[in-house]
Amino acid sequence: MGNGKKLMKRLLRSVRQKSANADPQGQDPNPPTELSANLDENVRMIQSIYEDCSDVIFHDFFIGGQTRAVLVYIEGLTHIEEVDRHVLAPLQQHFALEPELPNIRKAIAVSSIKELKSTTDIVEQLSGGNPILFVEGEKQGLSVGLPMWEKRAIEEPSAESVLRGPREGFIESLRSNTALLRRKIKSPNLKIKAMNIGVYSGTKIAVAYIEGIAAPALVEEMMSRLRRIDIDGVLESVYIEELIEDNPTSPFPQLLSTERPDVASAYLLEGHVVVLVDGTPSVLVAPVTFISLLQSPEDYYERYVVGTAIRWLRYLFFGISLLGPSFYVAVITYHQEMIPTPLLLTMAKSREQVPFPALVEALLMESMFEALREAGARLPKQIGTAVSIVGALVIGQAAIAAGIVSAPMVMVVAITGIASFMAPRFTVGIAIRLLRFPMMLLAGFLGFLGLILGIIVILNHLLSLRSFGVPYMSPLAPFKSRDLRDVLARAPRWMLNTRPHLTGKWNPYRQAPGQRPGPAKGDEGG
Amino acid sequence: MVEKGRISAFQMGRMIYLAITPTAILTTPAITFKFAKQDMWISPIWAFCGLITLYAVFRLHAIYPGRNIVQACEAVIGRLPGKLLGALFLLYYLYLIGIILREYGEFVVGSFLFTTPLIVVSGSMVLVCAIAVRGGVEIVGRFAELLLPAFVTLFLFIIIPIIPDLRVPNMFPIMANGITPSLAGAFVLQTWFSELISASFLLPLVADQKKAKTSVLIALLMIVLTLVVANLATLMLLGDITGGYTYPFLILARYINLAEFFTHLEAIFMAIWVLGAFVKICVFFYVTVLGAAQWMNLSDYRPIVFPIGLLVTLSSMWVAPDLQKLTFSISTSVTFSAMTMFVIVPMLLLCLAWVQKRWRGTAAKG
Amino acid sequence: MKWTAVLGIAALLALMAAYEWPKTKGKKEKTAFAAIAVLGGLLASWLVFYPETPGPTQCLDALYKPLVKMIENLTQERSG
Repeated sequence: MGNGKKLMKRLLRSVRQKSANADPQGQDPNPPTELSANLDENVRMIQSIYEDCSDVIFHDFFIGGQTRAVLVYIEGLTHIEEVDRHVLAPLQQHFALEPELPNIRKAIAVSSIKELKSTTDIVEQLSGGNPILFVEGEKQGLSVGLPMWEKRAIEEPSAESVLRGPREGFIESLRSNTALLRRKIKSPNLKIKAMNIGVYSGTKIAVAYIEGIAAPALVEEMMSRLRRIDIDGVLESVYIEELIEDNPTSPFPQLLSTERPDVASAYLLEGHVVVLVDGTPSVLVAPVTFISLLQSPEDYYERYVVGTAIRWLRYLFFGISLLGPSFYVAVITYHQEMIPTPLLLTMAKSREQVPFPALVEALLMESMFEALREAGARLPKQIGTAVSIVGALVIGQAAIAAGIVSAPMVMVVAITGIASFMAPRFTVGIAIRLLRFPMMLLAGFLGFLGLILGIIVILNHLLSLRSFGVPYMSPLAPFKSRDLRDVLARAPRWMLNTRPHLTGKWNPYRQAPGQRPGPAKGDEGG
Repeated sequence: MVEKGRISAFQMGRMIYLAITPTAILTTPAITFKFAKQDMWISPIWAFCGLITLYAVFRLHAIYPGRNIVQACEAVIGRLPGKLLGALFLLYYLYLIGIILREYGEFVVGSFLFTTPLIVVSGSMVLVCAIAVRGGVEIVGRFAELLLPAFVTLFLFIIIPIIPDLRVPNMFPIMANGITPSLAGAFVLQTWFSELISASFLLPLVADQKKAKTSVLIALLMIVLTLVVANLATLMLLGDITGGYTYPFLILARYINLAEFFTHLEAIFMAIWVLGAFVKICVFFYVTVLGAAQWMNLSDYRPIVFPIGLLVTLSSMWVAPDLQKLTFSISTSVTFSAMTMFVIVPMLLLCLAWVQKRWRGTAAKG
Repeated sequence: MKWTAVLGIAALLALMAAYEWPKTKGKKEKTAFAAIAVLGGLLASWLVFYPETPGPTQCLDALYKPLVKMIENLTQERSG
């Protein structure tokens, strides 16, 4: 809350500076921020701060028919029916005691009431949707906790849907999101630290972690990086992500963003830290490794054999999405002897009329495909997917008929496109999609050698990347054999006894070992 | 310390393995065959230089902990002669890395990318290695860790499918002329074994020192094993004509025939072999750069990585006019010079250091 | 043609310098970089014009000639 006050003061400072420039004589450069006992003066102060804000309503009324009072609230942020019923009604009609704050508090049937002394506090509470009550003769204002605004219903995130598993997704309201986390992790060790970031937006940020599992150094590091942020406004979690990541120039994300509470909770239980941002359903998870970006909650909601198989398929297609077109270009241009002879003949025939070398063909088709995909994203959902697929097919066919590209090329591009959709996280998928193009160029100039050199350069980058101190390629690069069982395959639930080791000291055991299920002993007879 | 990074003993072992094996399995079978004929598979077992070099490395490190051989030079024989010897060492490393790069380039251009200029192939590899070396020893170590399984898998992938085609009688008679042929064949291999001196530069950077010795010895064992298997496979498949090919192992790769459908997969062999060669060149490059930086008392080796890269590329173009001369030199003068620099000199240093220690010890007592 | 090669080498050195110079701190490091880079550049230019210059291999060959001869004799016996 102290952080909020500081930011509110800065907000006020900027507001005051603006009005000071407008009217240099009228404004006192340091107006008293303390409230006075005079009701009109208080009201005037608030009115001048919220000048030209037509949605701030000032409601005059009389307490018990005698004492003047003013209720200030922001229309649209406050639950006005409740205010009428629980604040105005008791005060206006049945109030018989002395109009002092303690008595007023007793009369108002609301659970959260705060007493406020300065204008910064008032601004903070008002912008949170809480109406403020000023009473004649009282130096303090009362903030009544009755915020309410339009919220989206909880629904499954479109980009991360699963066949089996919870269908809840985070929404834009911070409190609803933290509540979703609390429902999954009921232990009081789930700590949720709050802070405000953004001078004008005053966005509420919550940092969640499980004490005893998350390394204290990690939490400290996260808090210090967040405190360093000095920005006008935070509209999406990506603003924060870009300001706290280790390597901003890398195409690979160093914080995971997800819209699913079950994914976030799973990471919390492994010792990661989750950052929730008010106003966006995407939460950030740190630290993250390359492998975790290739995993999907789907793997864990199916049985381990299925999970392992799908995981391998995903790794294979991940490789294809990066190397597919490059491999094709390299083979066609430099290593034709690798193609089995029957295939070679058909390929040669189909490439006969094509005027371009394989590299140009590939670049052309891939750019076309990317353009189609981006265009498809702008169209409304139902039309978008149809247009993308039909468009790709039709354009592909037309291009073949015109002799601009060859049929195998279209096949390769199609397969690569499908492969790139298999990446569970969009951010990694798009990084790979972009890296495909330099790989194609390398393959076009140096064949397989170019391919390998490209892979080496990418690996070099990945190996030197760190996410909050954790090497990006662990557990592959700093070789941690115990964590590999969840990387190379999807180990069965009863084998996942240890948490993956991130940094420093850690709490190793997450379940009692030796829980492999089997039929009860002595179950032989009848 | 110029290098702040640390590697684990495990990583060091892998780096050493990949620092020796890739080019060894490429060119040595043919040369070994020329000397040893059917005993060529016994030759890798005579890894004398390897053991001697390692002994010198570890003993010197015990006497001067935290220092590699170039730094130990100064301590043993005094500042000026030490600097001279160190310079000679580093220049020899530069020469050797030129040869390695040239071997690599000739292989790639000669067998696959026929029309690409050699300098493009060599230059691109140096560039990529320079980027990795600039990242520090930790990056190179992680590369070695990561790529070793790929390399070994490739190796097995080539050997195992051809097992049905191997003709065991090619191996006999074993030791028909005593151990001389295999020893003669082992002669060339000593170049590769004496390259183990690189361990001297990596040893001070290992985090868990106690495991380092075991790790390196295991690496040496694996190198010998790999070479024995490679030689054996080549011998049993190709028999007498082994000596006729410059790269017998490539011929083995050509034999891969999956269901009569996927043939001629040697390009993939080349691709994965390049990964091994990459680590080898990285290790040598790193050693050269680190040694040079320490020799010049620089605080950081990173600025000189690219200029040394240029020198390395030039060295590779300069060492030999063509492949034949290169192969000839490798089988003769290179072996001698490598043994001199990497075996005899370290042993002399060790003896001197040991004598000095004794002398100082008695002087202190007296 | 040869002069374009020299220009290319110069361009390469310029690129290296552009990347490295601002990053290196310390006089010693800068001089080391410059010295080695210039040496490399000169050597490269020399080799462009006189590619047949005897290289280190030839020197070492000459140095170890007697030993090499010995090995050659041994090989003759073998393959004979």
